Amino acid sequence: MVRRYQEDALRLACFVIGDASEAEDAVQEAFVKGFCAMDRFRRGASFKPWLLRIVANEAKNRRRSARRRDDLWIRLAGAVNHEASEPSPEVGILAEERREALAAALCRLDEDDRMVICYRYFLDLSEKEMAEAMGCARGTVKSRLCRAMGRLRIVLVETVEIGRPNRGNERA
Amino acid sequence: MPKGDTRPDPELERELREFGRRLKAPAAPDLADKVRARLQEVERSPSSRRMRSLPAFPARRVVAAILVIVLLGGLALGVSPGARTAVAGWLGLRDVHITRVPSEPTPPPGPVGKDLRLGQRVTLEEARRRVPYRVLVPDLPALGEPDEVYLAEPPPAGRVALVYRASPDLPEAKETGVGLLMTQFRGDLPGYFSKMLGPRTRVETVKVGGTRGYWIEGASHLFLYRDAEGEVREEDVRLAGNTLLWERGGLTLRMESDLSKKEALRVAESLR
Repeated sequence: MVRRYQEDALRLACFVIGDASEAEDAVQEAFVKGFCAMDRFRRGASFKPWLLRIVANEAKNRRRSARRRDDLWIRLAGAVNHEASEPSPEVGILAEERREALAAALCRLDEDDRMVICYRYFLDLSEKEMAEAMGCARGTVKSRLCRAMGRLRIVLVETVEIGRPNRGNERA
Repeated sequence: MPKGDTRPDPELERELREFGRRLKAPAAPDLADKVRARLQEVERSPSSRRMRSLPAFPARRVVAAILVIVLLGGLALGVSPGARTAVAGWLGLRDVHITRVPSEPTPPPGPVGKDLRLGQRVTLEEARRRVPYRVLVPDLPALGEPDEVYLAEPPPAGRVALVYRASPDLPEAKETGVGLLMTQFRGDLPGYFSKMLGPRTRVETVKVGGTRGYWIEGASHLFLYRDAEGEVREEDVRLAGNTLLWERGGLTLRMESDLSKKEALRVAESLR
């Protein structure tokens, strides 16, 4: 069971916490709690969202109490150029800048926003699965996702602004 | 933080999905074994049936047998052990190259500011010699002299950090042993900095001896400032207490502590 769900669980935890080693601890604890709570699992409900919910809570708690938050894991994903085959070098550089901006913006989101974005776009959960993983109604899922995306857009714009060179005009 | 534009944005969605594909989970081949081992522990001690979670932030000392440093497009990694582990984990090298040393049950003796990434430990005199500005120090009998002084560069012109240990008069911030942390550096605050503070932070404008400052409560997620060369930099929030932020004579000053606003202002106004 661990092997089947560990990939998604680790991605979720890593993204929410922003740190790979903390995330492993979180997933480990979450799985243990999951096993212990197995008797509370309602037969008929689907297992994956239930398990992810435990992982998410564990991850969110750790993120809130972690002293250092360099979000290195997310930033690395934005910075590294995996694909050798970009259409042209210029496009490659632009795409990389865009990814870095996106990574920087994602780092600025709080753990709840990260969780909901991870569920939808990284783990591809359906709305129904998300509702179960979040323990709320489907309408709430929609609105939380909407708001997370809205905040992401604000932060993206601001991140791009920061990146824009402005030397010469403003000297401290 | 405002809601922002909530219309659907298929382009951004596509980008997110693609970004998600790059987020490969770290390799954890022995996770199942670890879980099994933990479960056996739990079963052996019926008192832990309630499954209290682990301490909030188990201190972990990671000793890298081989240091993996990767410079990615100018993204220089910090030298913290946690960062090294993260990189190694991401590269799938963790189990091979990193040895873990279990955490010590009591905090090691030594400077309390050591793990806060404040820079190089110096004396106050040395800091004064090395920075081109006049270092401001609180002048309150109750506070006394700073217990530890650190100097960091970047930012340009140097950042001086004053650390005051927790004491009966100075409440300890978050188990760090630190009562008050004050950093100062040449720079100013970009206009948008308050927008980056995150949804659970409360900001209040205050007056610090005639100049404007900010009193920030709640855990801020991000602190941005503009250094002497106009470069926007990011700085950690270290104590997760309250922060008083103000500018004076071309310097930005930042005080983190668990003091009340009134007490913090007293300290700030005593600077000379």
